[in-house]
Amino acid sequence: MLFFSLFKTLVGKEVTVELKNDLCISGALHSVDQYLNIKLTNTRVHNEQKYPHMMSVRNCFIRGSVVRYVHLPPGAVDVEVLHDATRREARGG
Amino acid sequence: MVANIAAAANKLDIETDVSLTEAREVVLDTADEEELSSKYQDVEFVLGDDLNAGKGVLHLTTRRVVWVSSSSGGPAFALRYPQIVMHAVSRDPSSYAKPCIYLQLDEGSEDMAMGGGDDEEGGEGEEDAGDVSAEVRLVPSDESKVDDMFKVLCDCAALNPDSEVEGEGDFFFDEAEVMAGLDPSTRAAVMADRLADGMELGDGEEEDGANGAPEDLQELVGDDPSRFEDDEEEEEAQGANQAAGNGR
Repeated sequence: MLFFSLFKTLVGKEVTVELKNDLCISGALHSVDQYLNIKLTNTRVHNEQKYPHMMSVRNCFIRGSVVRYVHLPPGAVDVEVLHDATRREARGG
Repeated sequence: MVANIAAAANKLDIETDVSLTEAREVVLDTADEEELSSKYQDVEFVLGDDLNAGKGVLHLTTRRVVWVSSSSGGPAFALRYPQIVMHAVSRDPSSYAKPCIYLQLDEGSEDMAMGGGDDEEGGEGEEDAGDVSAEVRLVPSDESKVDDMFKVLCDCAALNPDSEVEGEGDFFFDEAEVMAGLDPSTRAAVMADRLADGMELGDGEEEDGANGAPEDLQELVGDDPSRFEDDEEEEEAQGANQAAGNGR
């Protein structure tokens, strides 16, 4: 549940979610669930290649399984702590 | 116009052959635990930029988003939640004239191992004339329904996680990265374990049978100790192939 816990600490912060279909969605992180489904508010949806219109939507729900990256604001995460936690998790600790 | 939409819908993996009762109600798949969550009258179904299927009834079930045209003989479309990569409340007039629910559908990106996905209906940046973007808008006549529709979609989507992975799944990690982060004594211990595992069968933690072979092997060998003997060259290759350090 490492990343579930991580994302919960980022609620309210501005993030950009990049989907596997290259779509990028920026917004404030509203909530996340155990499947890492992500809800954003005040979002801007943009992807010049496929969907040329930049669209702003009030709320959006993103399916966890299609997320490629979540871009976090610098300073939002203590990287050292996260690094240690992920190494422990990777070792099965 | 209708034929266009049905064809476009099929291309996007939207089900067009939806089972309906005589009263044009949705037949629920109770074996799949499908229940009706909410129903909304007078909802337009718009595919892509401008393929409008007209007004119909929107049924949000725990397994599917089903829209049934109000015109007799009109089309019906069904989406499964796993194919909805994102849904949103759209109130931006520059995006669409009326408040609506915007859904983006999964087209099978190159990240996912879908055979020939890039070649078929136009990969990124390549659009054949007539290709419809994988977007659906659900436009209720009653604008005030939009927020409720959004909420029900969220709740039902959460009921349909991808079957293979629940939660975070396996970690992908860089072996060297992990080792670099360990303190020296732990690192030494981990490496010692892996070396031991990598040796020929019978060393390390497995219990030894009478011949120094692990117990399972002992059973298989039975009375013939030389039954599974390898050539000398093969033994070395086996040691190198032992997978060490699995994730999770």
